[in-house]
Amino acid sequence: MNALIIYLILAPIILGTVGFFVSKKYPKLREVIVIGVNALEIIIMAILATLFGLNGSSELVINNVLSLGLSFKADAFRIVYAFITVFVWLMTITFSREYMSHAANKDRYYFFYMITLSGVLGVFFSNDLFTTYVFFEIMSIASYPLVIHDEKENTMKAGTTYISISIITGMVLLMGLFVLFGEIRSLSFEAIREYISINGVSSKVFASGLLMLVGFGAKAGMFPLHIWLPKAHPVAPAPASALLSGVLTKCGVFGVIIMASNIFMANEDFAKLLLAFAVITMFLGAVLALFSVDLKRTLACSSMSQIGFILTSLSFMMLLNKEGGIASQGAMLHMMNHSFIKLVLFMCAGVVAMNAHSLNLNDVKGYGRKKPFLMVIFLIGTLGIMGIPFFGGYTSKTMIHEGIVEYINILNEEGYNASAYKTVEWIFLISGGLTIAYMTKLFVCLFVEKNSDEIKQKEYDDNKAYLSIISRVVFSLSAVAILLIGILPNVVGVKITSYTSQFFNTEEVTKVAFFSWECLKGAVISIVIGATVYLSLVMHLFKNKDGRYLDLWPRWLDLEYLVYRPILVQGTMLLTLYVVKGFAYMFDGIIWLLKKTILRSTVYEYNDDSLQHRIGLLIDRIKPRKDDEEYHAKKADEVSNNLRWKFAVSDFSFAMAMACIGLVIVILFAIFA
Amino acid sequence: MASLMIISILLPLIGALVLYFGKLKNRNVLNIIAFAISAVVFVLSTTICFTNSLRIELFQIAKDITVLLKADIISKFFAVIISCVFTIISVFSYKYLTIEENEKKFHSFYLLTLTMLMALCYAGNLTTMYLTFELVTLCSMPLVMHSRTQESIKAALKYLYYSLGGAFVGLIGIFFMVYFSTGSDEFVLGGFLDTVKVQDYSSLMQVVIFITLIGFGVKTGVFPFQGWLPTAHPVAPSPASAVLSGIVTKAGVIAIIRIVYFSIGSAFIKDTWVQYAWISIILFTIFMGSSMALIQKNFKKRLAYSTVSQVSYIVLGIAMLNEEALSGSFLHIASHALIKVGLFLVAGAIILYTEKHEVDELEGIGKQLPVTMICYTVLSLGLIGIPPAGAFVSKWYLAIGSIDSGLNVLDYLAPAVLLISAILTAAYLLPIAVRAFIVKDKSVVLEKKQESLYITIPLVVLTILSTCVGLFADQIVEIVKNLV
Amino acid sequence: MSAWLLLIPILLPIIGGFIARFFEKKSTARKIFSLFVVCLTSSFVIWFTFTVSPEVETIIKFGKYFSFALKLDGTGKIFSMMVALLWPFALLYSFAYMEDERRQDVYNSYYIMTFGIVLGIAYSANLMSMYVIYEALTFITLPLITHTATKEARRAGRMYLYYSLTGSSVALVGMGMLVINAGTLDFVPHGSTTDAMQLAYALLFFGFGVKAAIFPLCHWLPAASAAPTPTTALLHAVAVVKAGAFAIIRTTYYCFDINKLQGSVVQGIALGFAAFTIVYGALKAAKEQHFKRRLAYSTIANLSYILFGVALMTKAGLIAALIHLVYHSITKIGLFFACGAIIKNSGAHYVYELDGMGKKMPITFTFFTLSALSLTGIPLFACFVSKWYLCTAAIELNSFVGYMGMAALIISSLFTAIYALSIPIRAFVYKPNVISQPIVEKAKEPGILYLVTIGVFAILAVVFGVMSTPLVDAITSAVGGLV
Repeated sequence: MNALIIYLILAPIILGTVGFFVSKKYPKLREVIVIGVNALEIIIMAILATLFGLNGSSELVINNVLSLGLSFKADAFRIVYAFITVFVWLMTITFSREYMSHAANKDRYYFFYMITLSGVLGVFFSNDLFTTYVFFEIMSIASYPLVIHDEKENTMKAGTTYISISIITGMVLLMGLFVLFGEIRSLSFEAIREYISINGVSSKVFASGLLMLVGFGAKAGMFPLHIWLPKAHPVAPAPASALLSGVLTKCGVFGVIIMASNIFMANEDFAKLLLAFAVITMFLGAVLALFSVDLKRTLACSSMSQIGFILTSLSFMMLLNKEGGIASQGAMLHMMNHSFIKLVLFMCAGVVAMNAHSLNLNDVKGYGRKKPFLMVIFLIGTLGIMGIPFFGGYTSKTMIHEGIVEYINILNEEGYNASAYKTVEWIFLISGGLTIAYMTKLFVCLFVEKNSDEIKQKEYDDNKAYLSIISRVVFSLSAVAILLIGILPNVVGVKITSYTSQFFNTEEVTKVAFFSWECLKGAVISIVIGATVYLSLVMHLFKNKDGRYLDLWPRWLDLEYLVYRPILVQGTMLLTLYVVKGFAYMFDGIIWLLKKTILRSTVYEYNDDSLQHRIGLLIDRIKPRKDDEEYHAKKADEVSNNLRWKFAVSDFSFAMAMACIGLVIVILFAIFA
Repeated sequence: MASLMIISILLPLIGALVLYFGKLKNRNVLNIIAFAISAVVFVLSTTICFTNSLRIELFQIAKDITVLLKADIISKFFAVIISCVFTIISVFSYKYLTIEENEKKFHSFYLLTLTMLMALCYAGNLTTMYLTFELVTLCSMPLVMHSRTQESIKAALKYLYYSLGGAFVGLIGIFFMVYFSTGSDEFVLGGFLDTVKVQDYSSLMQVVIFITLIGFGVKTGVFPFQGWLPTAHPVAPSPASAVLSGIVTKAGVIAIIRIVYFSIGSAFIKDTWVQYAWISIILFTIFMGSSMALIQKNFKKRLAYSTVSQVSYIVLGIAMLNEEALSGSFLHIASHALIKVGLFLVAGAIILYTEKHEVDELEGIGKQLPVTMICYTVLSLGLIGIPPAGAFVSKWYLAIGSIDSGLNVLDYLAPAVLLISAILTAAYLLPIAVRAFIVKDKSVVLEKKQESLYITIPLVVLTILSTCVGLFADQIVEIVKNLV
Repeated sequence: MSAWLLLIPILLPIIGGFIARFFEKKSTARKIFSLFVVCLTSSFVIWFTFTVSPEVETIIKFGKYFSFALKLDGTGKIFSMMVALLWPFALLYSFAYMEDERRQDVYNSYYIMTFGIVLGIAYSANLMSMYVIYEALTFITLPLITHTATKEARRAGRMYLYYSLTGSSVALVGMGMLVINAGTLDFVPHGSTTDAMQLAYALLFFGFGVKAAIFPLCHWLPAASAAPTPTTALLHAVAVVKAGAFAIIRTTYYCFDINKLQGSVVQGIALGFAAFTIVYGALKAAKEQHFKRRLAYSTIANLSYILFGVALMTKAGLIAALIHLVYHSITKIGLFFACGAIIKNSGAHYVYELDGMGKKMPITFTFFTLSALSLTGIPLFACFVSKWYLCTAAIELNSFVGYMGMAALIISSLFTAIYALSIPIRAFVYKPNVISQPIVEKAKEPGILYLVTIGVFAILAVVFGVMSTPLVDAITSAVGGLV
């Protein structure tokens, strides 16, 4: 039965490539294949879910692939989340058929679409950090072409930010894995959990945790590394940005969950660290969303803030340790809600972008006035995310809030001062309020207010066929999914998440009194804050007299150009240009220097002023001789051939010969005398 | 069976001589001969793989200088890789050499380099290894100056003098090792040094070993002496620079492995200042190579600097002196040889079809040469270390090996440098791939060029092989099991 | 077999040279006669090497210390055999080279006489007789240098004379001190290492070192390249300079007790100077653009290889020195012959004039490449073996100066690669540029006589490179008896 998992992961790649090659001749066939794959996946998921039920689990280990082997597991949490992934993929792919109908190089888009799917599924099904990392990298590289699909100038810039962050943080994550493997010698979740339970969190494991937090946090959009989220979403095609924020961020959160539940379960200071980042992400995301003037950018920042919510609940899960069930299930539920809600909202934004050809709130104002279907769908999404009772958001937010309150009560009982966590609770409520504020701002702008110039408004109003029938079916299906989780919280939401307790390593929570006063109190407070913020800030500060939305966020406050680029790009450029280049050319420089000084090639030419020559002249003074060549050569010839004996008395060699003969005679005399 | 080794060395030699002196005019015949011979050598080296270790003594130069051929596990591994890559390159060079003149010389020196590399793989003792090491330099040098321009000759001379200088420095070490050996200088796992004799000279011997490693490291582009790689590559014809950086740098690696594991034994320099100094030089080379590649404008020069840093990965694995790191370096030998040769063949294809050398000119090349640039993207992803490819698994083993090695600072610094260099590799390889497929100004129209099969087939084969190295890495890890 | 017979190979060439002057200048009879004389002497030498037993034979005895005696022992055999084998080829080459030169008969006769004198040095039994013949060598070779009677030739001759005479006088003083301390000049190793003896050794080392071109006294050798090539090839690669080295071998190993001198100050000086000259010669050769002067500087470097081996003062050192003495002679004579052929046939005196000449003179340049590879010490070629033994001997010495010498060896072989291998690359690969174009036009493949002589030594360099066991064993047995 576990062979199904491999089929699930590999099918998209194989059929994606088949689709890619087939699309040249018959593009229609590609769409059939692609949608067919997704449908098939859903059926398989359904089979898997029913077979195992949500409490069983089946493992699959393929060793000696990549020499360490990949291991997969299909338990409750993974099946639920894989199901959501495939559902989101199916919805977005059918919608993108319409959205991309006139876009260029579609086959590249669909090809990488499928590979990202297999990457995500691989991450969710992985049972050891090595497999997670392998599919994590595949997913982050394969999603890059989706982001830069329309190849415009600012898209490419945003794409570069996206790819460089994912590669750099991927490498940092790998470094974390090295350090962890160095300590624990194995990366499977059970082995890690068991090792930590025995000898606790050593300093090296903590360091590896930090490195991994950077890697996973970046993909989740956590505070210091969130810069790619507000940039990548507006430029990406709507279905792709639905994936990016709906599912890919959840892979990052999945990584954080693995770390939280297995390694740092009861670790105080890691939890506090994560809490700090989570709170900042939550609050900053909401503020950014409030300020933003672009429709998709608001939704992106809102995803960032919702991720903040999830991470807060995870950190409280760690703080509460065993009793953290409420927080873990809250996080899980909020992830599910957030995926569906963002799917709906981004698809609506896609419709707006498709027909109004702009995303700026001022141009798009009043687009949806005469479009009841779109208004209903958008309303369900907004209410879901706002956390209004009877809608999905409310259940998960209350559970998270309950987790915070529970921890504060525990602290008060043991007598520690819980003032810090009090403030965290207040920030939680304020961010909830801000969410309400910016969502109402969007809703009011799109469906209530009139567009400033009449013609455009008229044109919007009578643009009735803005959405094909299939896409409408898709929209309504996703909206139904949101309602399903929201309406009967204890029956549907909490029930599903209760099966995941084994994964989260926390005890089960089956029933939450959602409609008791202290749960409702939280929601009411955030609604009140939201309303006041909307009425005061948005109405007066963000809108000038004649209703134009102002972009008040200061341009220079962009973290990327303020911090990251100067350090990384200019820094390395400076280092390489001066320091490294000096070293690289050092040895060649030495040789060049030698060539110029000691090893300079000399061309010998005869000069007369050398010592020997002067001594020679001294001797010549005794017997002056002419110094020209010809004279000596002629004299030597004439001497050698005028004497019958071929010897000339004044010839120097003659003297030499006579000396030798003398020598010979002396020797002979000495022998015989 | 030992004759197999001799045939695999003599066959390309005869081929080279026939091609050089023979009056073959038709260029197809030339290429077929070159291809056939390298293919036969590949077959031979794979068959030798399945025999147990062979040993044959060729001749004796002087009393204790004998030329000995031996096929142990290391030489089989290298022989297979080298001959396989040579076969693939000879397919590519059939199409590429249409733009170069006097092909006869190229093919003959190409086969001559193959001969010497095979001999180097099968060298059984220190002197034979040194002998073949020198001859590899001499035979591969004409490949660099094939185009006979002033610049290429200067680059070839620089390559010759660098390598010869390094080899002579290595020769000092060989004298000392032979002097302190227990009799013959034949390679023995764990080293043949006579520990008693070396006892009181150990500090001197450490200095000598360090110098030898740096000397033989010149061919792998170790830090101070990497100057020849960026000068030799842009001027050499692409098949030659593919051979030069993919394979000839590995000759240096063979020599270092033979010295460290088979002559002095890894215990001799474990945890000594030699290992620390050597590893710090290697780490600096890795960083320097990648960052220099980042600022190069010429495409082949960029790949040359990338070779400098990638081959130092391999040497790092060797220098760590433990099993994981060594299996990591063996994996990286295989994957780097395949990937780097592939990248140079891509460079060659680009030069062949569009005569473009500079990186900035490669705008929209993906539209013109689709298959080539797809292979380029996959290969460069492999080199960066994105999972399915070989370089990822080798990086994994290298890092784990260095963490286990327990050198107090370097064990965590080495993986950090590896990853920084991987990021830099991404920074200098990926932009080219992105710019190839995404053209900024839509106005220029790019007609699709007809890529000949002689270009695409080798590239596709190399891409598949390099991914397989990653996926089925265990066979290579098996080799290293009993080495350290 | 008495040592009297040793006189025959010494006197035969001298008398033959004298008679050769009476033949017609350009007549082939003269050539045949001189070839006959040289070959006869060589056959005598070869015959003696395998038969004559090494007992001392005093020819003339005047005064208590001085006697003129001849003996044939191990090192003498090696040196004489080498010279005997090379001289006929050198003579053939000189016939081909001096074809249209003036006064070639005068040149020819002195060329033959030198053969006798060199053999005299090889066979001398004591320091006194060797010194006398050593002096005769200077005078007999002088006319060979000043043959062309140009200004450079005359200056080279003058320089050669002054250097040799200063060297000999220094050696004479050294011999005097040796006689007072050791009592005899015979080749009997003498034990004491008093300061006087060390000074004597230093004087003798630098006295004979002039001919062996040790650093401060080596400037006459490059200047002597102004002489015709047969002279530079034979004398400055084989006969004269090797005689100097041979004389140092005789003094070190036969007049002094090397075990006593081991580790002494004078050994340090000798090793230091030799090491420095190795690097100096190689550097100057790499700098020099004049073809023959470059090879002359290379000879300076290679001679100091031999002196370095000798100064190690161990048995292995002597063996290595003798091996290099033989191999360097073979390689260098081949290089000089090729260089002479190139200069003669194309008139190119400078290295940059050789660009692209490989096309015109392919065979000469191929032989030149083989000898150049051997000179650099690339394995499978001769000088690699001698470098191998030199370095192993240096390690056994285990002294700081020994390791410095090894480093010098390595640096100089790198520079040898630079100056020796760049010439064939210039010839074969470079395209003829504006300077070398006219010269390359003129160049044509030299005559068969040239090619034979150059080819023999190139092939010998390869043959000895591949299998030098027989020669190494012969040298080891020859030296065996000594230490």
